[in-house]
Amino acid sequence: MRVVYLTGDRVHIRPPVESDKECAIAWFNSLVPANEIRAAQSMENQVYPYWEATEFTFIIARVVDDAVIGSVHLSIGDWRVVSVRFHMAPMLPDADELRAEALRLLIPWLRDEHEFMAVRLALPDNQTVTIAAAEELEMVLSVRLREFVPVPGGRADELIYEALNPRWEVPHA
Amino acid sequence: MRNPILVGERVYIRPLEESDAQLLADIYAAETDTFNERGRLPVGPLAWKKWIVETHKEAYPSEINFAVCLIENDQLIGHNGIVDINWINRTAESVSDFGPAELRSKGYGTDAKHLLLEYCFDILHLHALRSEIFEPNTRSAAAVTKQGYKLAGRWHYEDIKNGVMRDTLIFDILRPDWIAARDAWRARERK
Repeated sequence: MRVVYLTGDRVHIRPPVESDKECAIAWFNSLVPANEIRAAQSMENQVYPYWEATEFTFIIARVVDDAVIGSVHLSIGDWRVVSVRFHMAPMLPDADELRAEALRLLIPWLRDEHEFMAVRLALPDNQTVTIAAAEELEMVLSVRLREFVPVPGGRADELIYEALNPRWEVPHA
Repeated sequence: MRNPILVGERVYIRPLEESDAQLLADIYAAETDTFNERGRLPVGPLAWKKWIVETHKEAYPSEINFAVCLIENDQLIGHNGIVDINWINRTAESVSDFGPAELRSKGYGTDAKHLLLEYCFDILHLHALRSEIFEPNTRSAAAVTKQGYKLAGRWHYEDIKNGVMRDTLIFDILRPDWIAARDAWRARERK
């Protein structure tokens, strides 16, 4: 399955399919390992009529072989602001580069097509390639939470980047 | 004092009980400020009771809330707590809500916040907390700054106030920030 408007050179983003439960470690965002049963339950819980859904998990797959390499979770408040969180498969040598490409697909879709006023991305400050992609996409660093994320050997700051939609004319106090 | 967890200068914190539901509803019903959120919302005793029951079911809950009471007469004057607890990352968001209006700006909120932060940093051993404050709520922004929080940034376009989009200010606090603020506050209080 390919979504034409969410397909790039190396990665594509698509809705989950039933067989994704077999590779849950790659996309299920949990430090506690998810087996097939837990992954299937998670997918089941997300099957709403789409007009009622406010939480979406999409699969990130590699273009060359359709291998599942991660996921992106969208959390939508009232269709003005959307929060984005990535999870990449463990042991990917190029996770940061692949996540950056997925971000380049997502931001135009959410900011320009869906016209969200703000698209928020939270990530630790050691994901330097994704951060560079965010800045290329003219996302702004809105929040830095000190020592908020554990990383191997210590803690990292959590950064919140926002893609602010220039189409919105916001009288701002 | 009734079932205290931590005791401060003038207030103490204790677990919320079902019998607090009506008192919390009464405090909300008497709210005078309109700047905390988009607007005031009455919350009835049934909703408070359900919240109190639900948030005490889990051994490792996603939120922990306390009743804040005056030492002198056990009067319930509000609640504070932490929500969005991440037990793995050891982070959470702190929240507070106080009333009646005539008891505000007397230092009770700061006294209670230092008890909450002691619970978070020295009992739960959380590493960092954040606080989210709607920009028009300048009183709370000033309060958390005094309590040791540092401005970490802002979320844009959070909600509407007076016809314009307003941001939410994001603050964070680490244990050394809290210790410094608490010691300075204690020194001022004891003068």
